[in-house]
Amino acid sequence: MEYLARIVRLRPLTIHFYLHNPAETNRPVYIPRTLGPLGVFVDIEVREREGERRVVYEGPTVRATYRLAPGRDDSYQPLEAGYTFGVMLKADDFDAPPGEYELTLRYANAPFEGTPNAPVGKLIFEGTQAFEVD
Amino acid sequence: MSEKAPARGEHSRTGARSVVGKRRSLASDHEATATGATFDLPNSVRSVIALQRTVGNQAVQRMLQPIQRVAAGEHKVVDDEPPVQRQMVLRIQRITPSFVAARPAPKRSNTDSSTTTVKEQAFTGKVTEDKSAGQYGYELETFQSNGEIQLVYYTEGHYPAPVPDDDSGALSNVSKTNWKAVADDLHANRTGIGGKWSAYLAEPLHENYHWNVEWVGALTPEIAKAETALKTVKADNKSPLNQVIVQTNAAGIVGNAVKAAKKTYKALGDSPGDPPYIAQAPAIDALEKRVRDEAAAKSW
Repeated sequence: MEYLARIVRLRPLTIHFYLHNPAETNRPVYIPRTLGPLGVFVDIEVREREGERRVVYEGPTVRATYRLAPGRDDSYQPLEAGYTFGVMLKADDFDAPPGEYELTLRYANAPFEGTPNAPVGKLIFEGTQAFEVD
Repeated sequence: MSEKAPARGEHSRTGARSVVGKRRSLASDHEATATGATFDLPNSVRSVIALQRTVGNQAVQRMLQPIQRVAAGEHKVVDDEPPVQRQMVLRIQRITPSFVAARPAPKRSNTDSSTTTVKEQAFTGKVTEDKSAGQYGYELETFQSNGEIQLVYYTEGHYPAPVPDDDSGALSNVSKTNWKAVADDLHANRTGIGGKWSAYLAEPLHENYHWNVEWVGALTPEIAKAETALKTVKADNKSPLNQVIVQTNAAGIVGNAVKAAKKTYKALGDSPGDPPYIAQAPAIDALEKRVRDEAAAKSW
């Protein structure tokens, strides 16, 4: 599994995060049917890139009441080789002043770790990306 | 499994140099005002201290009438305790944090979750000055915690009474052939994730529990602790620049209080059978009863 994220908009900060099953695997893999909203499976943090590297934004603290049950097969879906599955995540309470920043994004799929008929396992990712607001 | 760092994003150049954005870090959320006000004790405290100086500790302690909690939960006045053993407790004036949760219109989805989101915290306070002690201090004046409760209902086919979205409408999705399955499914998932059927009112009961009980319960004591800690924030008043130090230290204390509250909040259980799920059960129980009563009334 590969994890990809890119900032598509700065105001509000909008991130396209997606899972990618590389074509080379030649087989589908099961993944959770849901990735959002921001703060449930994906957390972000923005800090200044220079100076004191202060954290200027921490993603929302979210409690989610799942529609899908982690223990049910229909909470998962197959992702074919060469395809992606993603979500647009919006930090609508963050308006970055001009400056240089570093975004840290963390993803974990717990508790949606699959069933015997739709095995997934633990999916964990952490990555950073620099960005600039003019 | 391979992991790739995110690709560099496309920046939308907004040319927003003239726009002052709202940073959400607590260090800049507060509005602290430097004032020349003298450090002031509440009148009640001042009079207790004055009286203490005048007539001595024992007189004051007799007036304070310390109480002792007994096992039965009643209170007993203790008269025979040696005065020297007693401690005088001065009450600290506490602010009452306000909690404001926005509630956008409910959505419908069979995959997306209802959510309770803790958003930004805002507080106001001021730098105080105790001229006799030659010190600046800090006083927290207001604290507001903002959030959002987004209810997400299933599509109408999941509700015995689909319209309106409060379980009060006709049980138009219930019939002679499915009433038992509906009632049993509601019962089976009363403290869990909805099955094929659900109750609209379970959503606000569950989310309100997160906000009103869990978040308010996690944050309020941390703010009280922060107020106590803020009493220790001092800097000498020889340089006005020390007001900034006081403000920064105060912001740090409040920021740490919020972090501690979030840690407590996140550690609370939120799985089927946990308190938020138990909180939703009355709505499901009431709907299950409606379904069973309907079946009985129609002799199904």
